[in-house]
Amino acid sequence: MAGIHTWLTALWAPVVARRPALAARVLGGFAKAELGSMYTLRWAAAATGSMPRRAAYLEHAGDEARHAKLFHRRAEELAGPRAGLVADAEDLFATLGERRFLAFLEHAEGRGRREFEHYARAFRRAGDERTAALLRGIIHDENRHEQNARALLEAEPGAGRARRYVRVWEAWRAARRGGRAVAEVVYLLLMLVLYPLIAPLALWERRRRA
Amino acid sequence: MAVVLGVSALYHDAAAALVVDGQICAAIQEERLSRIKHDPSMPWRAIFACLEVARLKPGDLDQVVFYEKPFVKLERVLLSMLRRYPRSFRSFTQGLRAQLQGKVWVLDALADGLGLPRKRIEAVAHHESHAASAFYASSFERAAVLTVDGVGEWDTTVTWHGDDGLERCTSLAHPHSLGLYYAALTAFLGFEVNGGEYKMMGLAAHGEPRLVEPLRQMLKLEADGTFSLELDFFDLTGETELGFSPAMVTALGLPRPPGRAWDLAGSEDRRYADIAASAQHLLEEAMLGLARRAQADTGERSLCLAGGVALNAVANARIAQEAGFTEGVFVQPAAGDAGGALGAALIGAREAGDGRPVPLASAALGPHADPAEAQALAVELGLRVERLKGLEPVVERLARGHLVGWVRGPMEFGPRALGHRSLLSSPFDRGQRERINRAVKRREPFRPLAPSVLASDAGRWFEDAPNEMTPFMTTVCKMTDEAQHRLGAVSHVDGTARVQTVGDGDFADLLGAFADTSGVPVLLNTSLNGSGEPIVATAADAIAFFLAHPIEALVVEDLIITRSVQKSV
Repeated sequence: MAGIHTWLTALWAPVVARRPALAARVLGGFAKAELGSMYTLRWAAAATGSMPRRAAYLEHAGDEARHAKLFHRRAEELAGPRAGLVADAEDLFATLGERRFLAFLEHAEGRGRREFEHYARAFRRAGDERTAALLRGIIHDENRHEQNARALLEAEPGAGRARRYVRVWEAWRAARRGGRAVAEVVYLLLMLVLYPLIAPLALWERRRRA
Repeated sequence: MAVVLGVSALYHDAAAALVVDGQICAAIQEERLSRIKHDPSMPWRAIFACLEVARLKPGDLDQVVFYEKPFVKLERVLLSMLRRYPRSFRSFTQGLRAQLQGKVWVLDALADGLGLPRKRIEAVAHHESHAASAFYASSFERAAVLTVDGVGEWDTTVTWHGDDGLERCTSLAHPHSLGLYYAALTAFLGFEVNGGEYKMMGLAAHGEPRLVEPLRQMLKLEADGTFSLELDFFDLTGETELGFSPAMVTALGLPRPPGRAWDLAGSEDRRYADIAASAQHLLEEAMLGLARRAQADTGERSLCLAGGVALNAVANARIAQEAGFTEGVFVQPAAGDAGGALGAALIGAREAGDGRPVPLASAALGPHADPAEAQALAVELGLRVERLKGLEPVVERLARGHLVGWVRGPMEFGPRALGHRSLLSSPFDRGQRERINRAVKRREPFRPLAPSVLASDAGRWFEDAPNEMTPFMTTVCKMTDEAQHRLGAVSHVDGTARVQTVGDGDFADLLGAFADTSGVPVLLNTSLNGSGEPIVATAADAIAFFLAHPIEALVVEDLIITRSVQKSV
């Protein structure tokens, strides 16, 4: 799954890098993702029983918050003011438990780093050195986060099992996301059918008020 | 004698409050614990934190009261869509999904989540929750009560008579709403709705109210104190929020793009400041009319205010000065939807036969920060930790112009930091305000910062202080000439300040110690949070804030934390 994602990014990044409005949307998406990661890490910091790991998660969360602001600001520079930064988040620590959470962190940071590397190359080739430099700075942090997560994970027993679990779980999560997207379309179609059917009720309400 | 939990959720600013044997035990906003600003989700973290403060378990709860009636709200949402048919497709799809996904099942979700029988869960009306939160927590035995917000189920504005209970007098219904009027103008000026209203209030002082007449076409004030919105100027496509329509653009000119940097020296942004000033002026007139109506309805000499619009400190000050409530005006610190949780719990307690609580003297109703956690984390992160033996090290830093995070005692309930989760600074140099706005808060340069003052000395620096509202920063006071001259960092452009008066406790001791050094018992006090973040709650939050922001020191209970190598910031 991660391979397909990276391959698609490699194809898509050059298209994005040449269109400032599209680039702003993609960077805005990164800002949201980083903010979501910040929440996830803050919740992990609150939940872990280990003080060194709490400190590590807090530092990592601070980096994610900074990245979110940098991406958001660059998106605004490319295509004008954007709405305030808001993001959804999952409490993955509660869902996965700490060992698997660390395995997920290692996996997600690696995936993010590979994605950013494609975009950094694409922006540099497109002549947008500022965005490329921003991405390179963030890749440096992502690399460090990946290594930190790996070190914390490998200090735990059962690291390999946790990695295998997370790979399967990630695939299942991607499938569920796909299912949710299909459900969205089905819901919209249902509403398209339902909405005309409530016209008599609307007429009745209008008469009642008149 | 009952243990009652109040819950507000699923719109914005979710919260929980716990009332035990009629007394307010705990009240916490979910955003503080989830770290998501204005978090609307079911406040499980806040609920369990309230129970922990009182050392109780879910099974100990006699009753759980939700702050609004879900099916009445669903009725309003559906009827509003029908009335806008066929232009309501977007709100139909989004609104129906939001209602069906959680809002209408909220009472069942509470029963399931707490493991309680469904019969122990009930709901009360939104505006009744607001009214109860203000009246029962006040020191008044009898009062007029005015609740004003965007919208509850149907009500947007209600006057009540508070005596042995709450008797409903006059009401106005959706979509005629001062909250939605202010929200539409907030959006017009490029600020976010449900969060940017303070910005518009701060901006208003920089403008002239020369556009009041065009706004009077949009918000029509009646002689009896009521009002109506001229709906052509508002966009009714949202589920509950009015945006602005092309008619408003025709009347006021182009709206301001969100996120653009402010230049109040330029004519374009001065025009937006004038719009803010005019909108604020008209809101104050409307609130004065409603307050006078509440007095006429009840004949009372004291007033309690609640609802999101009651967080407009400038309007509250005018009501206190001009509406004729000779015994005082009270606004509880979490007047917005978060406070609905407190009101719901107090209603439940009254229904269970408990009396009124001791009047609310402090908003510090949340959990403590753990200094042991702060110490361990600071050591892990290579920060310098020292134990405070007195307040001198803090005062000395403040006197040198340092910014000091101050985390002591239980966390506050409501949007204001009142000396428990505060960022403090010397109040003298205007440059401190610029520094905080730009480097720490990263927000608009026109935003004022508030002072805290020892209550015993407040009159020398702030006119009409102390009063019932000043302990909670829910009003503004005119600064005396001396204060305007000396306290540049906390003086707003119109010579007012949203002052907090402090009577006793650690924070009063710090103000006293600062006065011993500087001769002035005043500190700049702003909330301890970064841009887009909720106010810190735990020791870990405070440390995270310290790591990410250029402040010199952080006090967590009896610890002072600094950077190992003092950086120049």
